[in-house]
Amino acid sequence: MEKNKEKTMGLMKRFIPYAGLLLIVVVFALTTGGRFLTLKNLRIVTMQAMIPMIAAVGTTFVMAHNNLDFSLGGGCALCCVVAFRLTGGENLFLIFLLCMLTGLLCGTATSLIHIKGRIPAFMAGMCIMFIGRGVIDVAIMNNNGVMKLMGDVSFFANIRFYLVVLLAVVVVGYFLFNRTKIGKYQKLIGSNPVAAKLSGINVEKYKFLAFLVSGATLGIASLLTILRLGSLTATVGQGLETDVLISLCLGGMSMSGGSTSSIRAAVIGPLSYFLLVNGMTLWGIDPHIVYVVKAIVFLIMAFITVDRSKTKVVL
Amino acid sequence: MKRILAFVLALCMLLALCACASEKEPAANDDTNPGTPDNATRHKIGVVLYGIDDPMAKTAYTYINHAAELYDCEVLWAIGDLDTAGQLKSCENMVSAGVEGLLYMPYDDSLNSSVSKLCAENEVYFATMFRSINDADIKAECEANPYYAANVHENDEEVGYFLTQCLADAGCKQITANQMSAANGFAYDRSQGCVKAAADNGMEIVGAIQNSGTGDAQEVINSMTNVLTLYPDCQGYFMLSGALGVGTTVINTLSGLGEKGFFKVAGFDTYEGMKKDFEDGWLVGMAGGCGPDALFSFICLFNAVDGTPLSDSTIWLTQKMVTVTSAEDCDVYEAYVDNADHLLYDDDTLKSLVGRFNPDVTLKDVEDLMALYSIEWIKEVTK
Repeated sequence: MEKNKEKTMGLMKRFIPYAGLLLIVVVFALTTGGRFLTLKNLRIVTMQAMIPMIAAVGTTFVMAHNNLDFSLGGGCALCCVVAFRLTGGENLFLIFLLCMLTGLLCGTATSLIHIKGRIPAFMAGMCIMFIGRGVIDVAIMNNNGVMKLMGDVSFFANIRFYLVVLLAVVVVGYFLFNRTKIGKYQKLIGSNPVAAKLSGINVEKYKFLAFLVSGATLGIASLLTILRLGSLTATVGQGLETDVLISLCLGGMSMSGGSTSSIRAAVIGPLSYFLLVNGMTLWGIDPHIVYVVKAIVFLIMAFITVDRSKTKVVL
Repeated sequence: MKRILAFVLALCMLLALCACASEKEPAANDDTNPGTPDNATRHKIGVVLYGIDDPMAKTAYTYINHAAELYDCEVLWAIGDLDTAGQLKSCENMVSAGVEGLLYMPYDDSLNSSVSKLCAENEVYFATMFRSINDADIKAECEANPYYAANVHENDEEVGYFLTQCLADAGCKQITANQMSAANGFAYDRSQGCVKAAADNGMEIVGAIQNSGTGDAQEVINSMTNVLTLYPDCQGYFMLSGALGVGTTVINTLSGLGEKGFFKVAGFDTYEGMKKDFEDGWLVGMAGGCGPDALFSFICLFNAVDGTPLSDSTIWLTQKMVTVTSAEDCDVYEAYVDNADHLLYDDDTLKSLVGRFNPDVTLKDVEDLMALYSIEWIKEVTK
């Protein structure tokens, strides 16, 4: 009986994100006078969801082993600043390399602070967040005017290129997460780190690799951010970690990681989130209510997906 | 096998949904001919604003809603975006929602470039309020866009100079100020006014108060405390913006650091409770009352959307600010300026500025009305 109940709950947790996405699409498709499912609107939503989606693919690795990465926003800012400063907004290929390198460095720094410094990962991530925000403020302050992308980047700054990048990231992410030790061991560590260690898994090494993957996807997300905005702004990357966290939750990712973690959360979650926001805008409802709805939806999904066997309540 | 089936099912579902999608926009009234007021098209305009908590934003919100009601226009609001990416998302969503015009206050010059492209692709008119465009390339790009209806911004540099002069007149020799980048249009102009006035009055500007523009009170408190500790001879603060609760936070912080009035503040964007701060000797000058900026931007945009543009090219207008230098001025200010319960322009005036109701309206009519704006004019019209 208990086993059947658990099985049912497990199935529910797996399919609720799909059901949620379907519900969002159907409800808004029927109530927005045909505006929701136009190609133009779907294109816009896809462009908006793209960057958090790519960042979420990497973050899935970190969350799978039961950690939270708060470095995304600041890390994105850092990647953009480094790329712009060293290239002057020219040479997109160099910008991409610098974004990747900086992203990997951010991932490395976060993991080293967490693993070697024995500091909780979310705190380590916040350090990077503050550093990134500070650096970009200084960079913007010291620059006379707007730092823009030079040259014609229209070939890259469009949805086709973004979709190709997204597909590549998701496919590689899926492969790494489900077919290699890098991904499989994250789930094992997230389920039971002690058992994982006793099984001979080098927990620290794989945690480090998870942050490295997160850093790599952050680099790619930063490049797309630069392409989308066309320039460097003081608020670049702001709120990225929150968007990714909420999106992953909506996608069915358990906050405590473990064996139920899946890359699909990184795809379904951001889509659901941005479709929800888009749909509410099409409805024309009070913007303040949008925040309340987001909070409620997040709470509901977190309630459904959290693994209660691992959580403790301190009274 | 189950996974493959699930994947195939999901793919079929997606394809089925996409089949429902259409390139063609839903049927809408394409008639841009305003006709007579009685049978005119009901337009939809999107407005992006940072919030509606402070007096200026509240006034802007009220003015736009009131004008929209008069002109029989639907307004879609996006409130709360405090970063460029967020504002861009809101603009995109509004374009998807079928707005014919977009009005926004850009946090950064770079947003204008993105929105300009978005509006050009979707044939949506757009206008900006409360901000100029500092970057020459972006300005040229926007002006070349036939859909860029109007830009209304304040005479920031001139007022910045005046406020710094107030600090000089109060005896300040060393002051501190906010630091903001050249990419931030309004802040740069205000800062330039301060720098020029400081130079002319032999004042030294020290330190830099951080204000990210998100209303983070703790950030302001920490920054002020640090600067005053580092520069004990600092006597005044040129506040770039008192909006989002910053003004109140600054005075509260100062109150905890010394006796009343030991430090002088002059700044932009008035806040509630400033009369007491003038009486206590903290404030020597505040500038605000630029809520009508949003109204005139909206009017120019509406005219463009309605097919009766006031100009063939982008309209550039300057909104004067109201400066307050005493507690007595605050009474008039709080009663009639930035007071959402009291609008300075009556319905007849508002209707006279729109081609739909007044086919003879010209841009000069709008400019003449804006030129009158001052605390003296306000006292006059509210007698």
